[in-house]
Amino acid sequence: MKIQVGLGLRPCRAVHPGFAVNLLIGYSLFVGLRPALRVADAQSFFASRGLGEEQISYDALQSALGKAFLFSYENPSFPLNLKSVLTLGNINQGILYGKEDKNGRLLYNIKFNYLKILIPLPFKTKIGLSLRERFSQDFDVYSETSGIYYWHITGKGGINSLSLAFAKQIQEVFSLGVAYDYLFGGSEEVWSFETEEQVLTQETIGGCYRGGVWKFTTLGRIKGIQLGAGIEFFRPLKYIGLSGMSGESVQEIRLSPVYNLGIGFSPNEKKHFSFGVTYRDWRKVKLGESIWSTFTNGLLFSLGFSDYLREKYPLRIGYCENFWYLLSRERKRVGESSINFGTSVRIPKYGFFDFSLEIFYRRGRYLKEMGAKLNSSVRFDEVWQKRKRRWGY
Amino acid sequence: MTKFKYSRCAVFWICHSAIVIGISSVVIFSLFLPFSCSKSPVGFAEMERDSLSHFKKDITPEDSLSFGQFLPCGRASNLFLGKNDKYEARILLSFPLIDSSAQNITKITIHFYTSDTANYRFKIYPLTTRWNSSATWRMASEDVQWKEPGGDFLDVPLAEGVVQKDSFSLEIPRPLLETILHQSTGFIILAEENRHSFRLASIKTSPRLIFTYGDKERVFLPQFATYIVNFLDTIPSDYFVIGSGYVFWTYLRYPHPLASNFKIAEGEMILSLDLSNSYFLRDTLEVAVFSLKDSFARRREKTPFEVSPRIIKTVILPRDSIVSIPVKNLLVDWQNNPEKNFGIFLTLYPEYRFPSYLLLRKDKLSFRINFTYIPPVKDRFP
Repeated sequence: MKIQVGLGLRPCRAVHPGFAVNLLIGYSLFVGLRPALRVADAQSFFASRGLGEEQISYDALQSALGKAFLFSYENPSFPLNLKSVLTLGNINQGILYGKEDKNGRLLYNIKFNYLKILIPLPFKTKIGLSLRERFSQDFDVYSETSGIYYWHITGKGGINSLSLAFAKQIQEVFSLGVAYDYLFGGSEEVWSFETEEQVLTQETIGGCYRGGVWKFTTLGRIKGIQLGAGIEFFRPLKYIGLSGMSGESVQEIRLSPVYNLGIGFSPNEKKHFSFGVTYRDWRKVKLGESIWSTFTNGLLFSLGFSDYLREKYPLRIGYCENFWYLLSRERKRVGESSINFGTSVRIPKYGFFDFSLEIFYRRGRYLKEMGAKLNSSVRFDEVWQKRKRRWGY
Repeated sequence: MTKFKYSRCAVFWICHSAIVIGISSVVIFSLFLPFSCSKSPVGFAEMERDSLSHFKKDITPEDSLSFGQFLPCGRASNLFLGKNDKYEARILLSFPLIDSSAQNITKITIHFYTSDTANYRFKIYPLTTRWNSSATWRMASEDVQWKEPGGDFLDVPLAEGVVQKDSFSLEIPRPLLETILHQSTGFIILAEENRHSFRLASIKTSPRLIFTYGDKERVFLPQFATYIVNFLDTIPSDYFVIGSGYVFWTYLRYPHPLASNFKIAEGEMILSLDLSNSYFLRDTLEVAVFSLKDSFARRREKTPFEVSPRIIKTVILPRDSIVSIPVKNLLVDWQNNPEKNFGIFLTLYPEYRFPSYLLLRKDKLSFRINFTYIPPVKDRFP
């Protein structure tokens, strides 16, 4: 059985059932197994504010190189030359230790958070489809005990994006890309008023999100230097709140554009340096008609380096300084520093297993967090060439 | 062949991925399992959802009514007998003797099994008015009154004896057989007064009437077996009372507790018991709370109520002089449906179980409902 994919301009590339299987498995993992894999707790204690914790690492490869957007597969223009269909899925595990005053608490999280498919098309074009978590609103907090009572609040959910991207390569050195991200998701917070013996009362509040983002990017290469730039325009993000007490309410969140810049340098085939900047001017984010004071301008710097210490095993190191779009309760910007390591293991004839380990330190004024994230990605990117040879394409 | 290889490879990498992820998850998770129970207050203030205090409030009844009434005890598992300064209890028995022939009967015996012995002498008389298991001290059945409260009977003692431990038998003289068969509607057992006995005797509901025919016997089990009870004491006016056997009900109506946008976390009703002047034969009693379905200010003792109790609270005596009854669900109902807040009534449960009553003090503490509530929680968007 062959599934035809293409624009109908010429005999299309044939898609082997294995591709459909991969797609199906990936989707099943994302939709079906994700709740099952979330075995414990939450991601960040800051995730109860604003839109939650922004997920800036997509896959192990991008994460290991400092999380630069423009050198990730989320950039429609990347990679400059796509020769074969690429499918990629990522599982993120994280442990986090939060500290506030003299109190400390540990969280653990695992989830399937990214699925990407890139397909090369005729005329040096390509399309991409991805599903990923954009903001996480998973949190789990306890209040101080008042008398015998305390609150236990758990939040689940977040904002995801389903992205359709298209890019056109011009000559061999330049690419233009556009993508539309459909933002969707929801959150549910369970507020439990408890004693040590029992849950006295529970209230669940929640809602769902709908929105969209247009992304325009460009990527160019001159000799060993890669340059990229991108901008994201957000359509108003609607939050439809479904509170048990007050019924349905609709809030509209107007987010300002996000700007990305990146530069990469490859002195030879093995070594690669990258530098990326992401700036979001979210000081004037509007919630309805008023400015949402929880937001500020966010800035992310990333540095990445990769080399092959042994022939088949790359070593990647990255550093990222991320000033969140969120202000902590003392109106201090939440800052995050992270150092990243990563490598890949080749899957003969298929692609790679990519791994990255991120160690981060996140700080508000009173609340500090430190932890580690382990990204495990599976990247299939040579399947099509093998098929072509075997089937005579 | 190609398909086979692809599917085999796909399975291999899926399995491989699953193993890697599984192992790493287990390792990481097990390392931090000891911390998973931590409830440290980290990150709560960061939520900034205003102050999330809890509040306490108490309400007292705005209307009340306490009264006693006769209640059929036909479903009781034990029959009570005795007369002291609190109660007089009589036993009614009816055996299906319709097709019995008086000929050849040589001996008539009645056999009792006791569950609680008290020192009472008693006599058995033949009843004359038709009755059934709905009989009370006043009523022979649902719609027929006794001519004399406490049962209509011929003043012809059929037998007499003393309540004894475990079981005992009494012989009814043969000449009274005609009376039993044709002039009576059953037996009534009356105890002589014993003011020194605090207890009532308790007899199991399976006495046997035995007709002996030479060397053969015919055994009759009761068609109806019940006890009727009268209350002889006086309840002081500064008390409410709840009781069973001869039942005491206390009706209470509380004001509207709270606006519906607040959430009631817990609530308790406090009862302050005067155990020194109460009467109870067991060390555990069950206090039941029923919801009323109409205004008792208007319907008084005839106020309808829900069939099943809303709350049953076991009271351990004489330990529990203060009883706390959880009433959260009741308060939530009143909060959500204030038009259905007709109040509650309190009684001992089940009411036919055995004669007992508990005096409830009308002090500042008693009947007070204390509850804790929380304000509405705020969404993440201000």
